[in-house]
Amino acid sequence: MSESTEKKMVRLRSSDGEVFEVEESVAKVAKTLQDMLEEDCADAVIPITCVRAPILTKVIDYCKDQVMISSSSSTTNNPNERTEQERKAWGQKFMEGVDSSTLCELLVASNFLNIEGLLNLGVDKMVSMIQGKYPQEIRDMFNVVNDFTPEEEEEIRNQNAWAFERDPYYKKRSSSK
Amino acid sequence: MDRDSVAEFLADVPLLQRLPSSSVRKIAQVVEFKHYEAGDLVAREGDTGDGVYFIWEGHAGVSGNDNDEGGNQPELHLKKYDYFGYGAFSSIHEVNISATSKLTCLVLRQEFHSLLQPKSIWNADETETVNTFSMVEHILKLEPLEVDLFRGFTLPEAPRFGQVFGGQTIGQALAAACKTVDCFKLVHSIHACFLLAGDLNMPMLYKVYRLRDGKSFATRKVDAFQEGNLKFSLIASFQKEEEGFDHQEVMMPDVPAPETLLPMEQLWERRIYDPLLPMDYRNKIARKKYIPWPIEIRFCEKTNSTNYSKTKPSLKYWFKTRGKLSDDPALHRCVVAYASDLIFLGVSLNPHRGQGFKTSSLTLDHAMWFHRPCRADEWLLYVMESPSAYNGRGFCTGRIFNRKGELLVSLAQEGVIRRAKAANPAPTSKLTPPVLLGFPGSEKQEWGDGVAIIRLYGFGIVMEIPQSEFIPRPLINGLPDDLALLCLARVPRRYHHNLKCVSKRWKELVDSIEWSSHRQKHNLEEFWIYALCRDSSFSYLYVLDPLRRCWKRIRGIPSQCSKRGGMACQALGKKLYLMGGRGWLEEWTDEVFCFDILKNIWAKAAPMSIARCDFVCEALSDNLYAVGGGFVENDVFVDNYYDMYDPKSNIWTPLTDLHLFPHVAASMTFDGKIYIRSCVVSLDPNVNALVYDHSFSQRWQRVSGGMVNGWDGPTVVVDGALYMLSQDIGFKPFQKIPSGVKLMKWQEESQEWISLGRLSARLIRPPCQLAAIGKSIFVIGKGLTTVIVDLDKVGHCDGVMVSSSIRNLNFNCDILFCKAMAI
Repeated sequence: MSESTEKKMVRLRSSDGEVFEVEESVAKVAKTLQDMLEEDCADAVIPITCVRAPILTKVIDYCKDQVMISSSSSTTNNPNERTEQERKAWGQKFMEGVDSSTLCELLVASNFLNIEGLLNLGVDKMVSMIQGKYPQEIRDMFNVVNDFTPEEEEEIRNQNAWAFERDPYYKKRSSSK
Repeated sequence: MDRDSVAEFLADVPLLQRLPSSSVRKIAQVVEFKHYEAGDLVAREGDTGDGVYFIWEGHAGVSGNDNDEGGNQPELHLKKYDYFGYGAFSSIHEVNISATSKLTCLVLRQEFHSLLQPKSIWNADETETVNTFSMVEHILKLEPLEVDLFRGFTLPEAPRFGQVFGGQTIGQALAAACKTVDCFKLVHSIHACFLLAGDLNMPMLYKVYRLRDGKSFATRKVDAFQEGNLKFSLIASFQKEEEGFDHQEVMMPDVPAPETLLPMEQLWERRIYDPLLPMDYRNKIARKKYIPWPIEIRFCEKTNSTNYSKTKPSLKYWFKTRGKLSDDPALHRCVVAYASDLIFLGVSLNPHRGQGFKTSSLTLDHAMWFHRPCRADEWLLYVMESPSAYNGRGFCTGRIFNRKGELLVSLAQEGVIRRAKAANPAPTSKLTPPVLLGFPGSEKQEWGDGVAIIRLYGFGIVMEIPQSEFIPRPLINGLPDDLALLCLARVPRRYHHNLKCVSKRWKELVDSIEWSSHRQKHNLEEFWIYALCRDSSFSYLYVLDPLRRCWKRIRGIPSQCSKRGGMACQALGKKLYLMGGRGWLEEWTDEVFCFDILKNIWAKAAPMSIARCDFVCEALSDNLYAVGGGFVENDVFVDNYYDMYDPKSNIWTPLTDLHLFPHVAASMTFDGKIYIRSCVVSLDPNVNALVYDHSFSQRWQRVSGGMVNGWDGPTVVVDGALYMLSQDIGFKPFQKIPSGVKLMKWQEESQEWISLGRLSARLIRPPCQLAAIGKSIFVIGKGLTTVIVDLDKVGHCDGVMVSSSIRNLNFNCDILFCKAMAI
């Protein structure tokens, strides 16, 4: 890692004005930045207008990790190379403790910066947060307004009543409540 | 004196200029000449008049009562183009008229007076009823008050935008001008200025000034007033037809023919069913009555632009009137002027759209040049672009072509385009309505306090609705809807019912076809198996989620349906259809019910053309085919009728084929063909099977040999290969040893059924039906006993196959139909 000082650095500015200096290779994990850098606008500070500093920090963490993986896997027979399972575990750990609003911002950021891996991690996290939850839990989590009348809600429940019937998952959830 | 010059003369008489051009020609045919010498008395006060006199040549004097002082001194001099003897109330001359020179008059006799009172300024023929002509003709129908004064109204059904539609003012003002001009002169240019917004609830007065009448040209100015306020002004120039230079430099752009493009009604419908639009808003417009514009518009280009996406400042569409127009060429030009303002200025907004885009836009002026004759009741192509916008003003130019590619009209328009300020509501009392931004059917659209713009998905049209009606609520706060869809679509199918309960928009999304097609596109589809089964008295619909490995009953099956036996069942799209059959006490039925697997609701579909019971139904190329078991009346079977169902139109089409037999035992669809087998047992199996090839002959034909030979059980197609369950449960005289239940595969090369292996008799309860998901075949027997055979793990040995099973429900029912359906 000694040659890292010689590496070309890129400066990114978050929406709240904080400037981050990262190696070009790290920035290039983001396809959007890669395209910009290849069009040669590296000297200036690149404004990332829709991403706040704490989110950008997280994004940069992810990019750094990706750079580390790809550099280590390029050397043959590297014991550090991750298996699919390890990768999954790493992803889970990376997303651990991320709340729903941070997650939304991360999704928007990874979509804007075009980082497919991070976007997929975010989507997976979102799915794991939603699946198996009661409607009210989902509403609370994402601040969705329940615009059904109680009658309408009842009707929808009835239409889908068979889905609740004899549902081991459903029972487990309701007993754990 | 020939009648053409008479017509030309009459066209110059101001009184007659308001008449339909056809009336002038008719009057020219019936007028009579009368000649007088100087000093002759033409009409005496108190005498009964014989008609209207138009002075062709010479002079006449009008004098009052004989007994007045200075008796013979004329009070008023009449000259060429003047007229007398025209009165609405009496035909008695009220004055004396005498020739003051050699005088020639044209006399329109009393019996032709109706020619002077046409039903409309556009059409004299009373036999034409009000409804036969396009609505726009009624919109442009003015009421003549005086020779140069007209009154126009805003009809209740006319397009409006919270104020009088600018195109209506242009069209009516031009109509007023046309009705003060020699009908042989046609408008070639107009220049209009909008000064104040028009009030919908009162008529508009149009005052015409005759600026000039020349030999070939005539010029008119029209002022439009409401309550004495000048709202609008227009200058129009007219010209007689003449031969001259001819060239056209611009080419008509290459666009699809109007017949191939979607009409507005369908755009409207799409908007109602578009799950990406907020449901509140969609409900709102769905409740509103759709009132089509009197001008039919078809947009030439499809775009994928959403609400706020920027696009290039140009637009092309075809338009014509709905319904026919009278033949008056002046009317056709007025209609083009009317239509040209419907969607024009908004083109200049296209490059400026963005998140939360709100504007107020108003037309300032409108100019048109009519190059060549045009008909507004035939398709015209309107090509427009906005070369520039600056300083709060947008500028647009347009061209109108006919289908032959001839340039008929050139146009230019300038208007105010501003970002709407929340604190400063868009002007409600100024200028004309915003041009582009109305949309058809929005009869109660408010214009003013802050408007939101929704762009029609897939089409570059913009409509505006009051902001209060449209609060875009994202699916997930802080996340654009496309990202939210990306996440939600990955939630496994078994949790979808929970998503539906979250909010209206979530439910709309999960219920929509877009939801399932998104899942399909991203390889997220999950298959569940739907099975129709029947115990001794009732029919039930069950569903199996293979991941959870348990069958569940779908509730809400219509009670008529659950009582019926002999029904046919088939899946098409995201719906399951249950057809025909008969209940305990009822006759055979033609009724069809369908279950929507996205929405989990039952509905009635169109009935089949005849009642059917114990028949089959197959799905082929987006249609259903019901065959066999046909029944009309008095126990008469209909052998050779089959029904084809189109789910898009919800129509069953009865078709006949002489080869068909009434008692169909089984059916299958394989390789784009439907095969059916007769109940009648014959030693030669080939005789009793037919094949229907939709793409080839569209006929039922006898099929011999091939897979029909040995087809005696339920089939399923996996990866393009045909599998069959041979379940030897019936009595077969030539077979001594029961072969058990065997899974067979059709071998195309050797043209034979080969056995893949036997299924354990302990796991399975024949008779069974087959369904397939991926490489797994689900063998479903009595009581929903389910055995899953993974084809990847099946060897070609004749032993008992290894398979997994799903525990059965503790009840005894036969499986009539099963099918894997994906969301």
